[in-house]
Amino acid sequence: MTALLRAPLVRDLRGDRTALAACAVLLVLLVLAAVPGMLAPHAVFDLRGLSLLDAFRPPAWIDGGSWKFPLGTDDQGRDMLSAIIYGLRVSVTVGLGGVALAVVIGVTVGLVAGYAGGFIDTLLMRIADVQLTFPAILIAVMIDGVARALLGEMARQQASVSVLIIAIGLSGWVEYARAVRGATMVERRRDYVAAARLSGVGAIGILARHILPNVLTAVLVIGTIHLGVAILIEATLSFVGLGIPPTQPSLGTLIRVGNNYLLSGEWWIAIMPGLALLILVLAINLLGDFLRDALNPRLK
Amino acid sequence: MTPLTLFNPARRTGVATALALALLAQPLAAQTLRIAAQGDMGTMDPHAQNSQITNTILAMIYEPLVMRARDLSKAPGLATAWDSTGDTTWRFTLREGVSFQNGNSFGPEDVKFSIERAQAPTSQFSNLVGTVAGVTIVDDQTIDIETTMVDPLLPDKMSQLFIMDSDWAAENAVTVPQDLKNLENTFAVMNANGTGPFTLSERVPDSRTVLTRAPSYWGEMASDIQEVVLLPIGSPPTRVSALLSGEVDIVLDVPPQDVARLESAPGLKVSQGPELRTIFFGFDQASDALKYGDAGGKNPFKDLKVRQAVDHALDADTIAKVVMRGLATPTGTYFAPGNFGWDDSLGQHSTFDPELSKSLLAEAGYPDGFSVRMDCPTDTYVNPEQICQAVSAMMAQIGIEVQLNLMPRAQFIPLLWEKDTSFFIIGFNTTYFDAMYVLETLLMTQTGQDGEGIYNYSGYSNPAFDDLVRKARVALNEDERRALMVQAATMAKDDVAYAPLHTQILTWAMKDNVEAVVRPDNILEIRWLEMQ
Repeated sequence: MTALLRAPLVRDLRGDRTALAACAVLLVLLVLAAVPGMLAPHAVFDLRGLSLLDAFRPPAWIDGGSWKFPLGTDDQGRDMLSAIIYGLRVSVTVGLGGVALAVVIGVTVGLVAGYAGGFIDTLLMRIADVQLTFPAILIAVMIDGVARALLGEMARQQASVSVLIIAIGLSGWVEYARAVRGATMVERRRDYVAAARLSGVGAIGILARHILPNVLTAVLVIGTIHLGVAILIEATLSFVGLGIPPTQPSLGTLIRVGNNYLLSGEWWIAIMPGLALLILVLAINLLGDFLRDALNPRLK
Repeated sequence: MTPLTLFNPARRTGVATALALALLAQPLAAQTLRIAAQGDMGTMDPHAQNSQITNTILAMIYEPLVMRARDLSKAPGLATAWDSTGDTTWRFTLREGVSFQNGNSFGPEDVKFSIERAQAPTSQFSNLVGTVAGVTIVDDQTIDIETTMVDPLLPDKMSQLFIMDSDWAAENAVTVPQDLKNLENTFAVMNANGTGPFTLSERVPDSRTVLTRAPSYWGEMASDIQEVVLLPIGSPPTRVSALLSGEVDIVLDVPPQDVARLESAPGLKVSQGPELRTIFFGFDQASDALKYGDAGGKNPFKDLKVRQAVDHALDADTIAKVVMRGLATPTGTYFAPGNFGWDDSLGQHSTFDPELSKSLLAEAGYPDGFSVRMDCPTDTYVNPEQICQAVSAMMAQIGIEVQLNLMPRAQFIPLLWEKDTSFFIIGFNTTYFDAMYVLETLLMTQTGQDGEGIYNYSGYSNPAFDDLVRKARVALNEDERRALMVQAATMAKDDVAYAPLHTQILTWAMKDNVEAVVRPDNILEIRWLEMQ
């Protein structure tokens, strides 16, 4: 399978300039998100380094700005560029975590439903249908509410990243389940599966070693698009106040804080994190589009 | 009827005239005043919650014995005259011909009932009636209030006590104020019956409260407003947008960052005035160990040096300039200049000196600082979140690691009542323009008697201070009273009972056709409001 991914896919990637640019941008953003401490010019969450007198500075190219704070500062004197880099890490962590959880749940359900068929298949797919009637945001809000009730406000704020990962994971698994179920139902009739069954491999062994590798391309495509969606769900929840609190803000939280000043003249506090979010999700979506076309056997 | 007959000229004229008459006969749309505020009322019970917005709206439905004139001096309300007829007796003459909105007439038994109701343990207005020993009904228009000690401020206190209908309360089993602390639900939480110009017609908590004009009101109104709607809008930019888009007519809690934009917006105007609200920080001075933090098993706030360290680390000038955009005045005490008992010496905030703070902390035995949780509301006072974040950074600079705990007001206030906090921000408004309110309720040891220390959330207790206040409150000579009060306030300031920050400047924004008088106690007096 890695041989499949290596040669033709990369060749396609090099041929498609948009996707290549998106891939490059995404790599840069991921590196920034992975090691923010090394690359951010200021340690924005070390309260000792903050000075209120630095607050509300505009971006460097505007009158009153300085290159010490290239994208300006927020209402507490935090450097926007550094805050965005740290915020990227939170947003990407929640996004990746949510997608990973959704993949695990969805793939498991899809494999079981597709292989077992019959009553189990019907049951699982009806559960999936019910879940699909709820918008993802609503499910995330409900899970957040449950967490708030169970943990209390303070503990919930500290665990906000985990709560959001669970919320996004639980609200997004259905797509994967459906795709994997379909692929599983096709694969289980194949000869190699019959051969494996005859040679005594158990159901789990068949699912894990034989069928799973063949359904992963679908998962990859869905996952890439879902990553963009997951990051946006997190940003939406944070904007509304149900997500990450302002002490370790994600991009959505930064936008929420900046919203207070958007029309009073200090537009950069909201627009800069907004642009960062836009670029991140756009790069992910472009890459996802490319992958979907490149991995679609029917387009070859 | 064939279509031809419909187009008969005579019939057409007839129809047109009928339509025109019908349109003219439509009454002019009833005037509605829509108010946007940052928070909602917690209850309709007039003695259960002593909070700004609750009092503002309830003052449209209920009324006190003593009201305020435009120059804020005391004026007749439900009482037309009052006089001290003895050292400890005040005689009030009641207004005739007043009825409650349900038709019952207002009488002395209602006053007696209301005063006694406000003395209940679940009342948040017990300070107003803390010195009342008893109420005697002399005749249909006269009552005598007996006090436990000489109380020259009794009429001032009566300006905040809403009068309820004793019969209505008995019929609906609300003779005792709602226990807000324990989230008790009573008939009075959603229903009201007062003597004021408006009745409650709709109440959807956290969404809208609608008041309708009561035609039988005894007093004068400056406007024809038939309906008042309160819309609580917690998010500051949404509140401002609501005014800009015309959805509301007046906004009571204007964030400082939007003042410039509102001033330049056409069709709107901004009114400002000094507010009687002071913002300061409190510490738990009673517990032996920090409840929410880590200081090696001790409570650092018990040590004066630590409190002084916090005080010197607060850069009130920068907060006023940056966070409040100049709409705040740094101060050195816990009440505003407009109150009786003010002295300019109390207005000086301590010098901003973080180095001094660090050495004070080291002297107190905390050279590496300590960590503590700060509790902060998000939807009451002006820009509380931003102030608390700025103060967290200032504390970090002297080694105190602050964990900021933000929460809505509904969770924050109970935390204070239960004294379930180690470090908190608080804003205080004097209800009757006299600093005695602050000295008695905020700073005196909480004895549970005479309303002493009912809002003392920090556990500050200084017997010498208590003595000074007890002497001051029975002093009939104004100069003597003032001198004693200043002495007491200075003592509390030196003790750093709380770390002061600033006095707010009040900003209201409204449509050009609304003329509202900005009162320093942030109460929107509906009787004075004009609307074209």
